[in-house]
Amino acid sequence: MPFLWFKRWRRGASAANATALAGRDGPALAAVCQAVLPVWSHHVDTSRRQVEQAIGDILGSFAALAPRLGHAVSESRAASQALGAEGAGGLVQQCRQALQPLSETITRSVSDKAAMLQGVQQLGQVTGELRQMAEEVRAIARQTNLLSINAAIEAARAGEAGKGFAVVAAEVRRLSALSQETGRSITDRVQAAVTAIEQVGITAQASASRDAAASASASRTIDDVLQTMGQAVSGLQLSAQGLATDAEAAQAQIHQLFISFQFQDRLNQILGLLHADMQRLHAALADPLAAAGALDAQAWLVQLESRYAMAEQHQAPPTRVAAPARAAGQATTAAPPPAAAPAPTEVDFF
Amino acid sequence: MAKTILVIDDSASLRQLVRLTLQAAGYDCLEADDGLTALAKLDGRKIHLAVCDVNMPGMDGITFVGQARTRAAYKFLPVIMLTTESQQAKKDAGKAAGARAWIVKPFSPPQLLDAVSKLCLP
Repeated sequence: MPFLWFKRWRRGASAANATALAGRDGPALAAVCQAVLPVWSHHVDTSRRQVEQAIGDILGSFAALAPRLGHAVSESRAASQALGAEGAGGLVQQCRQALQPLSETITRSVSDKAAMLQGVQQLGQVTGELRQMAEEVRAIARQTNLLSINAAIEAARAGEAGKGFAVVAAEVRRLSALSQETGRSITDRVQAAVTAIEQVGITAQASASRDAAASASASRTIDDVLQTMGQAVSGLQLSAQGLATDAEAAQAQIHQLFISFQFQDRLNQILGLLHADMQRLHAALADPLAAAGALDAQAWLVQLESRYAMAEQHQAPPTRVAAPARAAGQATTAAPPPAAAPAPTEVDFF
Repeated sequence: MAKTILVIDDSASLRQLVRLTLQAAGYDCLEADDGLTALAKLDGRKIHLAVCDVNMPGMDGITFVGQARTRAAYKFLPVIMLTTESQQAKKDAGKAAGARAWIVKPFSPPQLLDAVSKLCLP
């Protein structure tokens, strides 16, 4: 649209028309310029200052935000890298290795209890043998008692000659009774021991069963916990990767914002130069010599261009001063090319 | 201890952008809005690098670089010119004055930080 307007303006404001206009309305035009230039200049400068103030305020807010964003970016990146290096599988494997001794301890405990139970069962067998032996002692005592009775009968039959033998037979009988009593006592004690051992065996059997069940349950629980943790870590890893990706994108956008914010500096320079040039024109118009026609459009443009700093300023419409219009300071201008948004360039190191 | 960078630009917003960029990377910043103010900051304190605009009221950046070179303590102060000026003649003048690098605005933060880390004094 501006280009169409410009073409129409060019058609309407030919050099000849401009010359005629300047010749006819020169003093009036100079008066208008003198009146209006300070106003335009003021507006340009006001705009420049307002933009500068607004950008300053935005940057002030951004100054508080940017470090936090930067911190979030670095934290997300670190978390993602940490999880990425280990991986969910790696972390689960580490936990499994850490829990392995505990699992082995439980298994060893169960195994020890099984061995103890086996010992108790063997002890039961031994006590059975002891009971048998005690029974045999009592049987021997009974046989010995019968033998002593027979010996006493034979001693009585021998009369005086068998008196001494009768004493021995009586003593053997007494010892036989004592042996029988001892055998009974051993049997009773062994029975008590057998009862106690059987009770211990039952208790040990129940304990071993419980421990085996607990061991199996513990293993299953460890597996379940590790699986759940693995899933959680995988979720966290995905989340951290997503955060890191978002953080990278946010970082890139922050950098792009930094580049975009610099438009204010460029705008400031363009408007500053425009402001200064309007003031220069106003001052020149106030000069009686200039007002009398000493203003030179070509020299003016050369001086203006000499103060350009940016490439896009040099891309301004090429201006040529039309010969008939020079006296009146009129110029014709080619169509303005579209203003390209500047992008960062390479650093020149010296 | 953080290194100190002197940021010289007449645009407050530009100084702020440069400061934000440098502070995020762990540098401390001093600010000046033209060459004269910047020279006043060269008062013996340790400055590891300067980032300097070219066109400024008061004293321009190229003159500042030349003046800084005359001070013994800052004779080897690395200066990065950060400017909208892209003309080779200006670059040559900056190089002749003693600038170490030339960046045409707008700058990107990674680009500026890369140049700063390459030239910063130990």
